[in-house]
Formats: sequence, structure tokens, C-alpha cells
Amino acid sequence: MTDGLGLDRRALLRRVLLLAGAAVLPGGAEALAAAAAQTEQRLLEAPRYTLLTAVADTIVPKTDTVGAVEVGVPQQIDALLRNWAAPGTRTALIAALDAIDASARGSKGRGFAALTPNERHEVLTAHDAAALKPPAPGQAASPLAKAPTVADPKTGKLKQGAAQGVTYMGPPVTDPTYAKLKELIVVLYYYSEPALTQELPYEHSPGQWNPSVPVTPETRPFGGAAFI
Amino acid sequence: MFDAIVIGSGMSGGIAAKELCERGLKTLVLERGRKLEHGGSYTDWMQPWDLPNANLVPEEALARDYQIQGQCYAFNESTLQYWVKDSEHPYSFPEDKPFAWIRGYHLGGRSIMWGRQSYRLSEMDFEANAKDGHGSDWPIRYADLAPWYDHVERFIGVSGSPEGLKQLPDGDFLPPFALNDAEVQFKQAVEASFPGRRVIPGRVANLSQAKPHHEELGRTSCQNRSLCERGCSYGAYHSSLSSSLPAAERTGNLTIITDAIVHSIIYDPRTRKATGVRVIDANTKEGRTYEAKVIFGCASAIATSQILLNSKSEAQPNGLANSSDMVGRNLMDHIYALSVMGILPKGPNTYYHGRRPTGLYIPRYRNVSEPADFLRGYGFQGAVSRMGWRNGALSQPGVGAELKARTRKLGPWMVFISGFGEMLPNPDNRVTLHPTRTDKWGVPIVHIECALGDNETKMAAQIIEDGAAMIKSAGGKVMMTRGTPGTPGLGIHEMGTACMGKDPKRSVLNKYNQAHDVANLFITDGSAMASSGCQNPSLTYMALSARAAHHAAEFLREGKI
Repeated sequence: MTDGLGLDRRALLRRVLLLAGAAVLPGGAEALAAAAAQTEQRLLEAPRYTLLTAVADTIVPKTDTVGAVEVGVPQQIDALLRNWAAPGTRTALIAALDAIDASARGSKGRGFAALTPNERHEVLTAHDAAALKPPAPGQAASPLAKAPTVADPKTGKLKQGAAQGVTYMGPPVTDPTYAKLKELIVVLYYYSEPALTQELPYEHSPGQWNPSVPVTPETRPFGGAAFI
Repeated sequence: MFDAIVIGSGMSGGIAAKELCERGLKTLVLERGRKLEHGGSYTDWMQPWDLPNANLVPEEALARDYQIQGQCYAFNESTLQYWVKDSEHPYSFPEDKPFAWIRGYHLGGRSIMWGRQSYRLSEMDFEANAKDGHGSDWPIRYADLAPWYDHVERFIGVSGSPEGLKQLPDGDFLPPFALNDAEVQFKQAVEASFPGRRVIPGRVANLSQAKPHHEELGRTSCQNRSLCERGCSYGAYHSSLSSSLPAAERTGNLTIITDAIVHSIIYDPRTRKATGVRVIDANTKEGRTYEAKVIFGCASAIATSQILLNSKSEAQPNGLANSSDMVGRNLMDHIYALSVMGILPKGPNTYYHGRRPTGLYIPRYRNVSEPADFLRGYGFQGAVSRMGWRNGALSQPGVGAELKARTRKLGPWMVFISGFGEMLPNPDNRVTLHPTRTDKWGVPIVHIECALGDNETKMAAQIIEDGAAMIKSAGGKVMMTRGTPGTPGLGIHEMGTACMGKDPKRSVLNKYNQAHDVANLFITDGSAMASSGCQNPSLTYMALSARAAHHAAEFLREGKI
């Protein structure tokens, strides 16, 4: 994408899709059903897309404010799998989703999306805690622990890609692929206009720099695209 | 026939063009990249929810086209249009000596994405080569450049605080972007524990308060958005697009041609002058020439070396202006990415509002007020800020309502400081033309050999030790250190490859940035730097450009060139 107009169009389209997504996806079971029904231009087939929707809804649920599903995170994750992820990353992230489903079948005997919200929270809390533990000594690196590997278009030789600006400055974990999936869901949620209206304050143009503002019980961190 | 040709439209070329045009010279600016429009081409309008792919560059494109550019801190999906594709613009380096050449080929060059930190060199920096014998003795001293620093600072607008430090001279500043409460606390602790060290607001080319002469060019005060690298529609930071080229344009003397790759400079052995430049059209690959009375090389250090070396002729077989064999040599960057991060558990119970476009700066103190087991020194850039929502959400396990609740909590104070160290000029750190490979326009690609030496290695260790000690002095707990210097080039301060000097046998340019060998050729980008100091160098390039333009116009008027 090299011209401002192209970016403009794409972003406008994204915004329209996001608004459409927000309109047709209320929380809970209805959201899951609606999500499963929308299949056009999607990478993930219906069962996995429903699983993704259930996972996003469990990581950032609707509370007194909107959740990840209401702001269109599942659609955006699907789009990232199509437009951002290299094949290896795509496969790894899908496997991370499937692993959550396997956790649910192991402990509850049913797929993750078939569980009640409380059961989903219980299963994912345990899965999350295990995945984000420090790695065991000598543990093999996950495909996402390093920059993506891709084929050089000229030689066909596999090369390691350049390191991209990290999106999560955290300690090493047992399952970096799950950590990445969670991070993408969380970041897309907090980048959304509803989250930046209801959850965190965001001003695109703050105007003034005020170096000292008293903290009150209502003070929340500013949202936005900063890394740390 | 033009009076002047300026090769390159970035930081140096923009100022050179403005100064030449304002002196009545019909000036042609040649830019190898495409045209960008101030405002219209920028992506600063993108709200977080507008960012394509959550601001991540697609992985396959990253690996295929941006292996080098992708290492730059400012590289992301919203700035993607500003970086060259490495796949289209190759260069080479030995496998054991990687060099990251970070580039933007478009009107305005890297002045669009620059970090905007603006510091003067001091007398100590201009004397350094003469004192310790490394590199070519600068043919100028601080007093020669001081009025031109004043001139450029006034025009571009630099926000900062006067501090009275001899190693970091004060300038003609707009009000500073003040330190926040935690930074004031850090400043007090560091200055009490380490007499001679100072923590000051970062000096930055953003208009904290636009003055009438800025507003005349359509520039307004900084809105504290910190979206600078996307281009600023307010024109609140200096770039060629917001500031120098519009100033040149309003004289009526400016012509800009984009998509014009300079192949070489044409030299006439009879007159011993350059007569013009050979250009290749980036789109059609057709060749053409432009003629002028005076030529300014402002293509950036490595690219200017490439042009000079590619301009060899029977009369100048070693490349143009290269009788000293110094063209391409003494490549320097700043030692970069040596960082320490810590938490301040006893930070003040306050926050701040707005995203200021700078942070704090710790001017050099090694070999100033404190000794060292190495030559020269370093400064630190950094900030003390609240850890953000991302850390709140993701730094610990837990999902659901609990995650949302903890993300609403204000994070702890985090101090982050990163050293910028001076690299010694070393003739073996060198840009040459590749003996066989050419780019798709048939121009020989550059081969870059550059490595840090013993002095830099010693300095790197001290940077980390000092950084940690300063954080601890403020009651901080060090959480992370990065003690390995970044790949040379990632400081994006490459310079030195056509150094100024008194001796034509050991340098390329004289005290007017005029080539010793070619009287009407002036080089005012980073190439000219005889030493690097540890300060961010763009301000010095601009001051040298303005000064050289003044002298070039005088010499033309007097019939000397």
C-alpha cells in the first residue's frame, strides 16, 4: 500500500465492516450463532470461527462495557490470518485455537464453544495460566518465538524474516503462540473505537502537554497505539 | 541551465535549496523517489481503529521486501509507504559485518520520519580529532558554526531549555516540553548522586509554540499526538515538506524534479569544475543531464559516496573529488540501542496529559566531568512514563472481567534510557562500489564495510553500567538491559564519508564544505562530518548546509567559482 488514497479506502471499508459487525453481533449465544452464519470471505470455516468467537468473548467479555465480539475482533483476527500472517504463523495460531478446544474436551467432555460462559471462563483461565508460565528448561522454541520463516521468491531458499517491532514486551512463556493469539485479540479490542470510548480514554489530538496531572480514583491509563 | 543543483531533498537538501533560492539562485532539486504531498500523503489521521492489520506489516512482505527496513523502530503498517523495499534497492556487506542502511526514497527523504532530536555540537567536538589524532581535524570550530545554528534553529523551531552546558551549547529555543513529575524526581536523584550529570528535556524540532514566521509557512503548534513518523498535517515538526521546501518555493526560484536518480556528476577537466549531473528516470530508465553553475551533494552520506565514486573520469580516475582517497571512508553511525529499563516504585502519585514528541536527555559527561577508559563519550535519551494499558492487560495471566478491570488501572512509573555513543572515524569503515553488481537502473550498488572497534566496545559496557546506576540512584529497580549495540546503521546517523578537513591529502571538503578538488561542488549532508560527536546530527547537517549555501552564493557573485 503506497498511496494515501488507497489507505483511506481500505480504512473506510474496515470501519464500515466494523460497524456492521458491531450491529449484528450482540453478546452471548446469539453472537456465536450470528458469527457462524456469516461465512463470506472468511478463512476459518464455521466451527473454527465459532471457536475463535467463543475464545475472544471469553478473553474480553461483554461486562458493563462492550466485549471483543461486539467490536468485531473475530472478523479482524480472521482478516489478520488472511492478510498479515505468513503460512507458518497462520497454522500455528489456528493450532493454538484448537488447543483451547482440546483443553475443553479434556476437562469438560465438550468443545469450547459448546460450554456455558462460566465453563468457558474456567477452562480458559486454566489454559491461559499454563500457557503463560515461564518455559521449562530446554523447551523447544515455538514457531512464533522468532521472526517468520519464508521462502525467498527468487531462490526458493528458506530465510528468516526481519524482526518486526514487538507487540508484547513480556517475559518468555511456555506457549508463545497462545500468548500471541491472546495479544492480538486484546490489542484489537483496545484499538477499537468502542473500547477507546468506554474502557480507556483516547484523544487523537490531545492539544496541550500537561506534565503533571493529579491521580484520582477515576484515573485510567490513556489508550492508543503506543507499545509500552 | 540552473544556477544550482541540489542532489537530494531531505534534511540537508531542503535547507540548502531554501538558502540558495533565498539568495536569488535558480535552483533545481533532484529527488530519486516519488513526490509526496504535505498533508495529503500522510497517515496521521488514522485512529487506532483505522490502523490496517493492527499496524503490523504482513509477515511475508516483511520478509521478502523489508529485511533491513523492518529493523527500524519507526517501521510499521502506518509508515510503510516511507521505507524503501530492500528487495528493490539492494546493497551488500560482508556476512560478519552487517550494516543496516535505513532509507526513504520520496520527496523530503528521511526528514519525514526523523526522530527530530536537535542538539548542537560543541567546541569539544570540533577539537576532538585534533586532540586525540583520530580522523581529519575539522577545518572549522564552534564559533564558525554558531551563527548558523542560530539561523537554522530559528527557522525550523527547536523546543528546549537553556542549560548553560559547555558540552551542549544552548540555542535559540522555543519553550521546552517540560519533564513530568517522575522525570523531575529522576533528575533530582541523578544530579544529586552524580555531580556533573544533568537530566534535561529533550531538545526537539517540534513547535511547542509556533511563531509568526512558522505560521507564514502554514505550520502550527504541536498537538502532542506523537504520531510524528506518519507525517504531521499540522506541520508541527520541521521537515522538507512542511518547512524548507515551501520556503524555497515561495522565492519563485525553485524547481523540483522527482523520480530522478542521480547517476553521476559531470566534470570538465578544462575548467576543473562540475558542469552538471547525469540522471536516470526512475520510471522510464531514460538518461538525461542537467547543468548548473554550482552543485550541492545532499543525497545522504552513503548515497553521496556512491555518486562521487560512480563519477570517475579520465581526469579523476578514483572517483570525483577523491584525490585523497577519503571518499567512502570513515563511515560512522552512533552506537545505538544500548538501553536500560527499570521501574520506579516510589514515583509520584501523578499522571500527565498528552503525548509529547520528546522525552529526557542526559548530555555527555564522560571525558567532560568524569573520566573514562575510552576516548570521547555518549549521551542518553529516554523518558520516565507510566507503563501503558498493554502491559496492564498482557503482563500477567488472567482473562475475562479481571483482565478488563486491571487494564483500567494506571501502570507503575517506568524509566527507560538509551545511550548514543560517539564512534571514532576509522578509514577502514568504508563504502565502495560493488565490483560487479548493479541495481535495476544499472548503477553499481554500494558495498558497506563497517564495524565497531575496541573504543566503542568499552564505551558500550560503560553505557549500560551508568544507565543502571542512574536508575538505581532514583530508587529504581532495573528490569531489563540491552547490552549489545544495535547493528551499525540502525542509529540512522550514518556520516563521515566525504570528510571536511584542512589537508586536501587527508580530506574531501574544505571549511566551506567545498570539494578540495572541484571548486563548484559542495557537500553538506552527513558525508561532511569529520567526527560524529554523540549528538543527533541533523541540526549540524542543516547548519553546515545553510553556511555552505551562503558561501557558494558569495563565491558565485564574486566570480570565484
